[in-house]
Formats: sequence, C-alpha cells, structure tokens
Amino acid sequence: MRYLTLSLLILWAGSLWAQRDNPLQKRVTIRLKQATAAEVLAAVEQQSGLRFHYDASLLNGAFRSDFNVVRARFEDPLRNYLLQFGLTWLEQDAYNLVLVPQSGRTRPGVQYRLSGTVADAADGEKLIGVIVRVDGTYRYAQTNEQGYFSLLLPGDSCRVSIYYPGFSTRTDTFAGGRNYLRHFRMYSSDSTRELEIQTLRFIDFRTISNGQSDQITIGSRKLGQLPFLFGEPDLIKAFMFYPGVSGGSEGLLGLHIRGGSMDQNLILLDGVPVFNPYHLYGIFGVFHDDLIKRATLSKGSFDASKSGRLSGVVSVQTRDGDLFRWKGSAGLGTLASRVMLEGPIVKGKTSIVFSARRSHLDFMADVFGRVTGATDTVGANGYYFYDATLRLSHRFSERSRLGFSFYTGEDRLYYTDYARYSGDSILTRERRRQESRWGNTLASLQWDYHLRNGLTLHQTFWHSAYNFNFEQRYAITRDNLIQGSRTVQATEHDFNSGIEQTGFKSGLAWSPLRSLRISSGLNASRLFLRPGLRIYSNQVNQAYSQTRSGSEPLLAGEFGAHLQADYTPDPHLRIQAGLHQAVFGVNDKVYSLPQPRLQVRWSPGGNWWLRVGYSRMQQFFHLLTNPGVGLPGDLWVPSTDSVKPELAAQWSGGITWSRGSFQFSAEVYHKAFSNLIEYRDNADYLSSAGNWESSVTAGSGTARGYEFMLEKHRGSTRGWLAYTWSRSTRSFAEIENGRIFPFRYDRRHNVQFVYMQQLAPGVHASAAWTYQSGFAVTLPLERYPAPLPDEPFREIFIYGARNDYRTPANHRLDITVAFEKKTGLRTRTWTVGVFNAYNHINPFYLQFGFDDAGRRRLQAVGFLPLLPNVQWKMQW
Amino acid sequence: MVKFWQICSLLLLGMAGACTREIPFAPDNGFEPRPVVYGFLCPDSPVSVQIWKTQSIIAPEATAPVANAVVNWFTEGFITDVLLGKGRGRYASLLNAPASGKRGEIVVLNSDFNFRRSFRMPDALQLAETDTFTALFPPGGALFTFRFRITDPDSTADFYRLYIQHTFYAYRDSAGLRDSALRSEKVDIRAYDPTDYAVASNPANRLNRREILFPDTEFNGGTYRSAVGTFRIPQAGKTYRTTSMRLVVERCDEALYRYYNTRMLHLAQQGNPAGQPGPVSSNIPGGFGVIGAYTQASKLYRWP
Repeated sequence: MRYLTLSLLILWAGSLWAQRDNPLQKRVTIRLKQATAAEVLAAVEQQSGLRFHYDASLLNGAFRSDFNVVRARFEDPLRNYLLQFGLTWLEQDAYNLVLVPQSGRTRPGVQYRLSGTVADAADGEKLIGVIVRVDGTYRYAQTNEQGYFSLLLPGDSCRVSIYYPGFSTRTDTFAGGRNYLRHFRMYSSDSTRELEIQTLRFIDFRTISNGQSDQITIGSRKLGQLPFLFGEPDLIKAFMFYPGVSGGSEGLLGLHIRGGSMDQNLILLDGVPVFNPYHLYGIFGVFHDDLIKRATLSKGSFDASKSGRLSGVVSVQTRDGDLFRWKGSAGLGTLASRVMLEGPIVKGKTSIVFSARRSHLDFMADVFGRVTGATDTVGANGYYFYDATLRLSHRFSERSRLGFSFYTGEDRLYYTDYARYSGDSILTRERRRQESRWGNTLASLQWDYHLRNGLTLHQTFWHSAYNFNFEQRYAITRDNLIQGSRTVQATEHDFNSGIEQTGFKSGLAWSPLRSLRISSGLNASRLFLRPGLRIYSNQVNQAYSQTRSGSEPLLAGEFGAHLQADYTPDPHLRIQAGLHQAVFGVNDKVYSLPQPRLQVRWSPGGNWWLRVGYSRMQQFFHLLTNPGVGLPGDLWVPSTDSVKPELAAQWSGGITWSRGSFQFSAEVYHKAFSNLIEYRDNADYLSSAGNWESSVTAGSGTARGYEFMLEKHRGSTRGWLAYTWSRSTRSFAEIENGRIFPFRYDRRHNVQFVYMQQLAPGVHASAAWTYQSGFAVTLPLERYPAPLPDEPFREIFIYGARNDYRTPANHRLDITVAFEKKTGLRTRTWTVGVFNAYNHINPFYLQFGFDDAGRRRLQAVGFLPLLPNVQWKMQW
Repeated sequence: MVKFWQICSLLLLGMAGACTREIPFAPDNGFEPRPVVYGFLCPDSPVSVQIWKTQSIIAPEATAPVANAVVNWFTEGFITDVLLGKGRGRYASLLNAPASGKRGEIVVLNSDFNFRRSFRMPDALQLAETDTFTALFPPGGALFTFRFRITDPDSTADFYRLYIQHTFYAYRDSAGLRDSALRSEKVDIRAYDPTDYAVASNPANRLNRREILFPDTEFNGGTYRSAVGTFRIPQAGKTYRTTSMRLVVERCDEALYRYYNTRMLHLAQQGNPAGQPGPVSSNIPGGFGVIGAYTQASKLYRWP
C-alpha cells in the first residue's frame, strides 16, 4: 500500500511538473476589448511564451471582439475563440503552434503549389539559387535564373523556410487547401554569426540535396576576393582555380576544360553565346565582376537545353539593377579603369545598370615610346581595349518581366608612321597606318512569364557577333614647289573575318507532379560566317580601283529542340534525362544527330551523394587557331561537305561529402572526341584563309581524368585544395600516319591551393598557389643546311614526334590584400597585390637560342614575371 | 594623379617584358646522321654537288661535310665527268655544265650511303616584251616594276621562280658617306596585280616576300605575261644608293620546285612559337636535300 501511495504521489508530482513546463497549461490574465485576432494571439504569445504561425489571410482582420482570461489556463478559451474563424492549431513542437483550418477544409493526399519569386528587399534584384524548403522534409525548390521557383506543398499546413547566404532566414506558414503565389523579399543580415549559420545551412542543404560535383558556381563576392593578374577580377581566370579547368600557356589564351580546346566551350552572357570572351590575347576576360549575379561552369553533365560545344558550358547572369535607389562604383587599376551605375528609371518597376571599362595600355605605350626616344616620324602607336554593358529590366507585374541586355567591346592595336622629305623641288609626305581591331557585340531581349500553375515561359531574341579587322592605309602627297601642283595617291588593304549569329529561343518549364519537372524548348538561329576576305583599293587622284580575294561568306542555319525530365521519386534519388536534337544546314548539306543526356544522383545516407552521368554534344562550327596558341585573327569556320561536325561523348561520375564547414568532392570522367579538325603540317591560318578546307584534316581524341577538391567554406579562414590528374590525346590519319600523340595542353598534374583570410574588419587577404605539369610541344632534334642556288644556306630543323616533349612545370604564387573603409554611404577599397610573387618564369613557349659562348641552348620564354598591382575602388 | 599613373604604368611595362631561362635538354642518344645532298644544276655553271650529314640540334659545328664520297655525272646514259672533291663537302666538275633539254644522272657513292638521281634540264628560258615602270601599289609605297612575257614549252610540266636582286651602295650615316663595298641582296617582290596567277596559284606565296613560285598549269605550252616589282627603290635622303635591279626568272623541274616551296613554308613556321613546321621535300633516298635542274633568264635595270 505504501508503495502504491508513493507511486501515485510521484506520478501526480510528475504530471504537475509536466504541466508546469507545458505553455498551453499556463495560467494567464488577458483582458482585451474589441481586439483583432492578431492582437489576441500576440497577447497569448507574450504571456505564454508560445509562438503562433499562421497565414494572415486565414484571419478576418476586420473582426473585433472581447477576449478575457483571468488567472486561468487559456487553451480552451482560445480554442473557442478561434472556432469563430474556423481555425484550430497543430503543434509543431512544445513552443510552436501552427494555425490551420478545421478539418474538412483540407483533403489529405492532395498537394498544392507554392510558386513565386525571391528578391533582395534592398534593391529588388531577383536572387538565383535561393533554397525554398518545406521544414522537416527534403522537399525543396531553388529559384531559377529569373528568380522564380515552384514547390509542391503537402495537403495540410506546413512551414516553409527560405535560405540564402548573406540574408536572414525567412519562415512562413501555409495552411494548405489552395495554391499560393508569393513574392518574397529577403533582408540582409547584420549578424556575422547569423550569416555563418545561414551560409552553412544553405551550403549543407544544397550539397546534401544536390550532389552536383561537376558544377562550379561563383558569385561576385567570391570573385572580388581572389587574387588576379594586374588586380583585375576575371571570371574566366577564377574558374581556373578549380579542378578540371586550366588555361593555355602561362594561364593565358583560352579556357581548357577536361582535355578540350578553347573553342569547345559554350560561354553565355544572359543566354547569348560569346565567341571570344577575352581581351588582350586572353589576359583579361570580357565580364565585369560588378555586374555578375551568378556564374556557373558545367564540366560533365549538361542540361538538354545546351548544345553547340563539346567541353564546357559557362553561364553568366548579370544583375538587373537596383529597383529602389541609385548607386554606382568607380575603379582605377594598374591597367584599366571602370565605372558602374545602376538605379531605378521607374521605382519598383524599371531598372537600369551600366558598366564600362577601358585599359591604359595605349597610354603606357606612348610613355614608353617617348622615354625610349622614338623618332618624330613615329606617330600614335599602341594598344587598348574597352567594353561596355547595359541592362534594362522592366516588371509588368510580379509574373511578367522584360529584359534587354547589350554588350560591346573591342581591342585595338595600331601603328602610324610619317615621313617627310624633299628633293628636286618636290616635297613628299608619306603616311602609313596599320591597325588591327577585334571584338564582340551582343544584344538580347528576354521575356519571362510565370503562370499560376507553375508553368514558366521564357522567350529570348538574341544576336551575337565577333569581328576581326586588319587595315593598312598608305597615302603619299607630292607637292611640286615650282609648278605649284599636287598629286595625291592612296591605297588601302583590308582583311576581315568574323562570325555573326542571330536567333530566337523559347522555353517552357512545368511541374505536373511533386517529383517531376519537365522542361522543353525550341531554338532557331541564322549563322553568317566570314572565314576571310581581303580587299585592295587604289586611288590615284580621281581614279579608283578595287580587287577582292579570299573565302566568300557562308550562310548557315541551326534549329534545335530539347526535352528534359527531372524526376525525384525519393528525396535521396534524382534522375535527369533529356534529349537535344539539333539540325545544322550549310550550302546543300544538312547535319542532324540526337544528343542524349542522362544524370543520376543518389544519396546512400548521411551527407554523401553519388553521381553518374552521360552526355553527347555536337559542335557545328570551329575555331581554326594558329596551332594551340589562339590569336584574335583565328578563323571561325563552319562544318561543310568535307568537314563534319565535331562530336564528344562523355561519361562521368562523382562523389560529394559534407561535414561542418568542410566539403569534399571527387570526380572521374572519360571523354571521346571525333571529327576534330587540325591544320596539316606546314599549314596555318595565314596561308589558309582563302582555302581553309584543304588545309585541315580530321581526327579523333580522348580525355580522361580524376578530380579532387577539399573546401572550407565557412569562417574567417576559407579556401580549398584541388588536385586533378588528367590525360588527353589526339590522332589524325594525315599527321604522323595516325600516331596517337598528346594534346598540346595535356597537363598530367594540376594543383590549386586557394587561401582566403579575414584579417580584421574591412581587411581581407587571399593567396593562390597553382601548379601545372608542363604542356606538350614538338621540338627539333636534328638540323641540316638548306641552301638555294642564289643564297647561302638556312637551317632546317627535323622535328621529333608531335608533342613528344614537355615544357617545365608551371607554378606561381599570387597574393592580394584588400582594405575596405566605409564612410557613410560610401565604401572605398584599396587592393594591393603581387602576381607571381616568387618570380618564377613559366614558359609561354620554348625556343633554341644561343648562350654567351655561342652554343645553342633550349630556352623557356615567359612573359609574366613578378608583377605588382594596385587598385582603387569607390562605391556609393 | 595622371603623372602617378604614368609612372606606375611605365614601371609595369618595363617589368612585363619577355624573360628567358635555360632548361636542360638532351636529345636522343641513338641519333644517327643521315645524308644531306644538294645539286642545283644549271647550264650557266659547271656541275657542283654539296654533301653533308645531319647533326644534332645542339651540335656546335655549323655543318658536317662528307669528304670521302665519289660523285659521277652521266648524260643520256654516258659518263660525262667524275666530280672532284673541293673540300668542305663540295664536289664539282672543272668545266662541264649540263645542256638544256638533256637528261642526266648524278650517282653518289659513299661508305654510308649510295644512290643515283636522274634529272632533265629544262628548256632554255627567254624573257620578252620587258620594260620597267614605277607606280603606286597597295598597301603602301611606290613599286618599281618589271613587266615581262615568257613562253612555256608544251612537252613538260614546268615550274617557275621569280626574284629580284638589288645591288647597292650602303651609306654609313645620313651625311651620305659611301660604304666602299657594293652589296647585293634579294628584296621583297610583289606581283603588281594582287590577283596575278603567279601569286594566286600557290597559297604559300603569301608567306614569302623574297620569291614568287608557281606552276605552268594555266599556261602550259602558252604565253604568260606578268608584272612584278619591289618597294625597294632609291629615294633621296635614305641610307643606300641603288646601282641596279635585276629580275631573275627561273624555270625548274618539279623536284626543285617542291624543295623551294616546302623550304619556304618550313622557314615561315620556324618563326612561330607554336608552329608545326613540316618536312622539306627531298629526292635523296634516306636523306635530305635535292638534286634538281633549272634554267634562268634575267632582265637588268641600271640606275644612272
């Protein structure tokens, strides 16, 4: 009996204790007269410690009544009060209650859709890649390139959280029972701690639920923190800090992704292809870091909407501009200056962003020429580049948006020479001018429309052009001082090559089921290629004549359709299957080949993801480069009767793991190329412009490799270590009888170590050390004299097997430190750095030269020694 | 501020020049020298054959002559001469030159290699309707031009080479002090008409400023007229004084034409750091070089 009494006492005490901790059982005193439902709930929250989550539309905001509870438990009175609105609550946990309609208003098993956009509350900029997730589940969606998302909700109520680095988490509750269209505004977080937490949640969740180990994403913030040549933030160079991606000689002259050449990358600026994304022979990229919202590089599995290149897809989205206030920035650097301005034309509706940049190199050449004492017969000589980007964005409504993008940029290399002399009463003046210009022009008009049932329409008209122009001008004026007469004679020589593409594409995306998303699209474009046209003009006083030679322009058409399904039957399994069918027609020849895409991602549990994928890609036009170097005068040529489209088929697989602030990924790939074109021996673009088809031969290639990356992405110390082992080969029947030889940029080992440290508030340092095995070159092994009947001999070199020799390894250390100071609304940043800090001469090419004793020696020639840089930037 | 950036830019440009460093290099130790033989046979000079061997790329010697070869010259199947060794790998006939239109053969005997090469001396070449003029020429400058006509024999496939030899005195300074040595060099040559067959028929001519090479495909057995010239003409106040210009037109056999062409292409690619120079055409079995025949005609223009 005693034990029974004691047990009952213990149970009674325990129940009292449990009730004491249960907020719903708390006794409160609330006296409200003519209060709204929101005021009643707020009063209960204040006294009980509970938190209510609800959709405000469930409450009748105009209804007012009295609510009184005096030193009593509030649960029953509150339930009765909420019955007036047809509401009850569900317990999320002990301190969080979710208001839901009474049973009968939702149907179990039925799903509803939440769709809309997510934007930065400060400037209205749509945010890409934001995670919108149903709490307690793996059900989530990410905003697309237009900032739009669509997510299927469970039939009953739920809570949705929105994560994005740099912003406070936003949480909303949805009662279910109907579809929702919401346009969320995210607010920046001032709390460093909260920033870390949100960043971790975002990255962890994305990694855990993504497993996309073959993609690299870079935002403008990270881009501004990495060390670059001459201090110029460069998106293309930033990608080279990641595994599987490398540059050409000394990291210049092109992007090489998984054994591919530089013309095998599809580089898109707001969906428009860029044919030559470099300035100054590949030293700088054409993208302004200030304008980049997000940039993604895909190396392995490609979306079915992408086609036309073999090795990589770089997609760059630019910002729309601040919808609420005007702001800008100006920067002055070692080699270039820039300005950026953005703001609302119509507040909340129409925005504009403009950015321009110009180099100082012509300025430098002028100084250099004067200091070195050039004669007064030499006029203006030099080099410069400029580029400008404009983007206009107008929102008809939250569901309909129109955007216009424009980019233009040009490089110019020029030389002018004057001469003046007299004799026999004739005063003669000569003027020579030589100029090379090359650059891109892009324009696009995009319209996005989001329907209520999650259907998204995306339409784009676009135009992209790349042009290379070479001019020579000569004029001679003779004045007869005795007779008083004058003769003027002038000649012109022009060489022009280029490519233009104008097109339209339309896309449709739809989620008919929670686990299924379908995207499809059509595209059509007209291609105009000018492989090389030479024009001579001659004018003697009034007489004028002109001759033309070279390849005639070619007109081609490309049509494509794609269909892709993203199927997620289980939160741990994602299947992406698609097909792209492109048709290319030039002259009377038509090429068409299906391009299947498949990717499967599976999580065995924990923080692991496994990925396998297959892609087949086709390329209809090619860049004929001065072998392996890549110069602006290289020729874009189309597939023809005798030159088939290039093909690549890639298998790849990967593994991703994340723990705390560390993330590890590994990738393996195998790629097979066919119909690759290469110059025959003794041919190059100088002699082939008139007949390029007879100067090239077709062959095949393979590329395979392993990529590893360990990254710390959180905290004041961040960075990553990446390693790539790769092998890439080529084979052409007419070159060395089909022997398999290494691709020029077949670099066996690549290491990238990036370190970023927040030294103090406003002071950020970064360092990057890169190592690459040498690239493959063909060296002469023997020599013999080769005279002419009328000349002494010149040396002829007998070369060894193609690409059978390796240059020494490339390695260098780059360091940069940024000092940021905020004064009111302005932010001033000084950035100082050094490129190639220990002055290691990395070979751009090899040559045989002579030492001081006259002996022939093999030399490595490099162009980038230790180079300091300084940049000043002001933002307001 | 402007001056600050000027100074920074200048420093940067000065530092960013090309830098070189020597790297170790050891070619394959299994290298075996191969024969290099040249015979440019012409009716205007005695037969001469040059014999060398190939060398390692880093060999210190300029050439590796072969001193112990026996070289015999046959004409229409009969021995004509045994060429005498003249030293440094050169073997020559004392007096005899091959005749136009005749067939011949060169036989080389050596402990390391033996071969025979036959040739046919092209028909004699004559220039007709020759004159000169100076005219403006795109892309810039005045072109001193030779105009000429040649008649191609019908029987064979012939090949042609054009070049201009410039003879001049060089001034040592702008005050006009004359260098005592008379110099001669091949100068840049351009076809007056940029679409001239001679230039257009051979794409490799774009790479070569000192010669124009072309086959007789379009005028075999017929007449070819052309005008070619050079920018290098005497001008008051410049650093040289021209004494004469000579246009040389050469008719050669196919072996020599291929050698000229591929030699030119190879040398043009040698200057390209990423170029892939191909092999130079050769008719020497197991070796390099060429034994070929040509005839020649020229037009001289003397400056007063």
